[in-house]
Amino acid sequence: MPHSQWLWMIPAMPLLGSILCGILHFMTLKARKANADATGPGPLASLVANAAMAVSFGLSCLAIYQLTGMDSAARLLESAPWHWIETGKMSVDVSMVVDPLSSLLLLVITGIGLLIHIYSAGYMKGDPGFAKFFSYLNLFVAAMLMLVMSSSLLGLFIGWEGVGLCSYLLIGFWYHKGWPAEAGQKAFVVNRIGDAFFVIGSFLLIQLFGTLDLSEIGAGVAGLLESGEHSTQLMLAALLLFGGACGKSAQMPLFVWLPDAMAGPTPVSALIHAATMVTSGVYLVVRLNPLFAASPGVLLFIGVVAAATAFIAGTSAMAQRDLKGVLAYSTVSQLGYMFLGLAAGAWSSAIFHLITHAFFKALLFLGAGSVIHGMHEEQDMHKMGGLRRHMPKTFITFLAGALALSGFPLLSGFISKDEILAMNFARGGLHYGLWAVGVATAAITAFYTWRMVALTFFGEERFDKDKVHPHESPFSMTLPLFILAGLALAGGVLGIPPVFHATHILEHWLEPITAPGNAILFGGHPPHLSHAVEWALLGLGTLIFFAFAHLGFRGLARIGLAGSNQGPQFDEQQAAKRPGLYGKLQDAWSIDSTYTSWIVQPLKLFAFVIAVVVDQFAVDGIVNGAAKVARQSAERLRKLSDGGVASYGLWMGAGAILLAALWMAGGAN
Amino acid sequence: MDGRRSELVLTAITFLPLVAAILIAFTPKKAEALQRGLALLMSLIVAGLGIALYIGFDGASAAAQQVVDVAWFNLPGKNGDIPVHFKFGVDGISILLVTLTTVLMPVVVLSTKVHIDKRVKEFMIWLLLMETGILGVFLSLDLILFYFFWELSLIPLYFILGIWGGERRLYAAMKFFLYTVAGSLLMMLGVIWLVWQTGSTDLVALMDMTSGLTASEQTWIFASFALSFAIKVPVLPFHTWLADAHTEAPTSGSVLLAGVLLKMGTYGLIRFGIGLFPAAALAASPVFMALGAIGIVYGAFLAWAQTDIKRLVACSSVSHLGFVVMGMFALTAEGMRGSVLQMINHGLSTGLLFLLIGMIYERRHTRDFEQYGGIASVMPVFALFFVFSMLSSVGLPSLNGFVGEYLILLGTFNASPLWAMVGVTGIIFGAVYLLMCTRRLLFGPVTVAANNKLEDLNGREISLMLPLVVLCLWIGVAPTPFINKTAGSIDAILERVDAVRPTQSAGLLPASTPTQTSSEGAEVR
Repeated sequence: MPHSQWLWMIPAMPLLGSILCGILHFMTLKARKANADATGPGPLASLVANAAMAVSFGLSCLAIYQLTGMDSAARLLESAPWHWIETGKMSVDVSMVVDPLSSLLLLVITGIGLLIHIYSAGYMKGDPGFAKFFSYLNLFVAAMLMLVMSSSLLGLFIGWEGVGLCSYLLIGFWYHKGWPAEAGQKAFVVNRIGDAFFVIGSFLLIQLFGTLDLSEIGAGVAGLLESGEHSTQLMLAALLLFGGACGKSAQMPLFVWLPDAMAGPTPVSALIHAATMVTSGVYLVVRLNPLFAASPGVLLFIGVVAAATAFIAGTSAMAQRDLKGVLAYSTVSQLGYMFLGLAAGAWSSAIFHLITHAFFKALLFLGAGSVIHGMHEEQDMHKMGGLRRHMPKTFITFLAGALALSGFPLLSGFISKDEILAMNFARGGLHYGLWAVGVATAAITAFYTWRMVALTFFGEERFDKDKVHPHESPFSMTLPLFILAGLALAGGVLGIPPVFHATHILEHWLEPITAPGNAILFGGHPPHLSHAVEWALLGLGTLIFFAFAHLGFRGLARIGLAGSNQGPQFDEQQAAKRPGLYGKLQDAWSIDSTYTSWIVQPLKLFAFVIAVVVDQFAVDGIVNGAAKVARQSAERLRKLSDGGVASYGLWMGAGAILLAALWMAGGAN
Repeated sequence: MDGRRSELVLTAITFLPLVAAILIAFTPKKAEALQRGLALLMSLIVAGLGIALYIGFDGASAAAQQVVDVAWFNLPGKNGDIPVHFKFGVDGISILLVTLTTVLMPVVVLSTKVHIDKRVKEFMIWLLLMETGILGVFLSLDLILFYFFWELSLIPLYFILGIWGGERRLYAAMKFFLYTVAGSLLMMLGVIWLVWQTGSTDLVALMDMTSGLTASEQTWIFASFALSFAIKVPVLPFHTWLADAHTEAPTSGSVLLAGVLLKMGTYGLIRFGIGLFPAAALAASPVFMALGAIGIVYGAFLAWAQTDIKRLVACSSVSHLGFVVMGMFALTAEGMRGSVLQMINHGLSTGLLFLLIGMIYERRHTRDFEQYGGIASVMPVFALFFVFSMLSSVGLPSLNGFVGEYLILLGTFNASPLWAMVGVTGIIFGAVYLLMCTRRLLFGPVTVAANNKLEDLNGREISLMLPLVVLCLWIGVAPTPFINKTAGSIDAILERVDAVRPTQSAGLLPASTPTQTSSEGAEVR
């Protein structure tokens, strides 16, 4: 097959854009230094960055178009390799690959990425770091593309840590405030914990397969299983890589960085912390699905972690007052859903939910950004209310996102969520337990989503009307909202449930990728539910949506009744009724603060003990015993250092004489 | 290159700095511009030669190249006279370090413009003398010659510390002196014993002779060499001189110390420890891997607790050099390649960090974190370079540090999963202290009024860092040419280790793995 060298252009365009925007940033700084009011060439950055994204998106579409023209089993485009590390005995070659799996993520990354770039041009307007922002954002996209297109696990790791870096830079974008910089640092460090597992996992894979090439690893698993050996190492490798995924995809126990990551500008939250980067872990597992399929124990473990994450984060979202806080915990919870799918071996369902979630959560974050923008940086929902009259476009589109997230029948979120739950139900056994937690989380999701909608857009206007004048956002911001709203509503067509007798486009498209994993895990095709059970589950989902969306909404706002101010009151009632529980939920089950007091603080203390007690007293103490002698001769030393070369020469001479004397003594024997 | 010219290359590289030092000695005391200019010019010429040497070097060959060999004098030995030669040569273990030394020197000379404002003439003389000493250490193929240059390279730093250092310079110089003397004495014992027993000072000849020594002799001589090099590196628990020396040294001294002087220790461990005594090194490998791994974690915690920026970076060296020591004593192909590469990487990234800290120190005259914060708002170009250097140090893939660390950890994992797992926590704690350092220096609001008026980096400062920045990127993206330069020599050393290795592979894992071999590591594509 001829190499498709142009695939390198897909990540290279945003990389180039990033460099250009960086140059524009420094030109702007220079212009501003000469004249404080000068705008400089900074505003050009949004054009450069958007152009780079548009080209990248166009090329991605071209790649997919080429794939569709091929036989389904042979759908693959590959560039010539970059010989990254070669040591004679070991080498890492990285090429850019577009296959059915990476093609889907390409569309999400460049497509939604482009929309968020367009939005950002409006959102970040007037920010002194305008060009810098686009430089980081483009760099992020380049790294993310590297992550999903790389043929090698180590090439993937370049993207993996690259997106982590951009996340760090963008969370801390407003670093002068202090706390965003701390949040960025936390994100990077927590991710590094996962990365340490990832690195060790890659060593095991090298030992097992003698390669880091992703397709070769995938192809090698079946043979290794047949030989019956090394099942422990396979399991360990899968477990360690999942450890890496836990960090990047914010699963228990490493999810604590994501809520803090909301310190970044809102488009960043939409792109990085909802639509793309945080789903890398899901991509990794699907990419290596044969490896994970070979270790059912690991899959079950993933299921338990995912269920715990989905539930804990979902309940935490119920009590947040910060608009972005709700969305952050919701994202963690939804990522848990994706891993729940993976645990059941529903690889394509996890990718399906990844895509629909990218649609509706990006939409919700951008909508939240529009609200925050219109409210002059206010994020506390208790200080909002009634905004639907002031920003109707934002309201309508936000509603679409909320319906999709909370599982309104037949909208994208409903269908993809149903698929994951149905698969767990079909697996039976312990998966019934996972299914039950998933259903409970669906109820929780409906509740917190509509609580959020009610507090933000309905009820009395609780802001200071003299100071705050909510306004609708400009066209560059509302246009992406409408496009995403369309996708969030209609995204379900990618995977129409079997009861409707239509082709499941996504499952079909991903078949070549998921087949090896399915063969190992199920010995062929995954189990199917009877139509009756399917209908029942769909019905249950519908019921839950209406019941809990109603509960979340009604309890708070009394639809459309102006003058009612019950939202905050409800919160206060709950807080008064169950102060312990409510506080616990607001604090996300106090997990983060537990880490701080049980891990971070002791480690800091340990560092202090090492630096002061061990190093200065114990280690240096021994040395200083010798130095005591030296202190007495300090006077002489001072003379020596002032006396220059001559006295040092004396020392050396004495040494030489000693050497010679020893030598002669030796020679005399 | 024909024979005559090639003989000249190594001699010229080593002694041109000495020539410059002598020239400067004859300049009038006040002619500072002339002294600086001479030093810069000569170090640039030497850097050019160093780069030419690197380009012409054949990495596939294990033999020493560009050899210069002249009979020097005779020592009395138990079986007749022992001829001492003036013998220079460069091989895969030394080539990268030689080139790095020559490239780093103009950078260091340029960096002294502000912070060396007294006794410029003397300073330049010491600096150039040090270059001759360091290059001699890396190039000597004769034990006595090596020892001579070893001593020669240490004297200048002692004076640089003692005269141009910070407030506690005398304490730091004293400590450095004591450690150095202790290490030198130990090495001298080893040298005398080895030469006495074998009747040769030629390193190449000695390689074949050491196996003739008794096992206990090998162990003891190895121990004396290894200990003296371990002090130099420094390996835990001999590290406490380093933090003081780094903290008190002027920027240029710190850069050279981190960049190449410490590498004399790691270089010596490979060349004299593992190269001359493979059996003893094999026996000691668990101990050194453990010391390296513990050093990684210990150094990271040490750095975390510092309140002085420069001291933090100094302590980070303990952690980074732990990687180097762990990797080489894994005695695997990946581990040792990574280790040799990481010597260069550490020189680049830590060199950059010391340069940057020097630049901010020249503006604010404090190294206390409390005095900083929000510098990124005032000095954006400085912030860009600092974050870049920090990321290189933290081991971000696509920058230099990652390649070395990954190969080291992989090589160690193949030899001892346990120590690899201890070492891998270094990539977490490394992020902890380096990001903390970055945040406290660059981010947050500007809290100290004096920081509001800081001037951003000027053209000289930017341009002197650029070569190092380019190298960081280059090694990160295309490390293969650099690694290949070292391949022949490393494989030769490992062959010697494998020859004495009992046939079994160690590991924590329950089953032995299919592609794993003793030193070959895994075959990867």
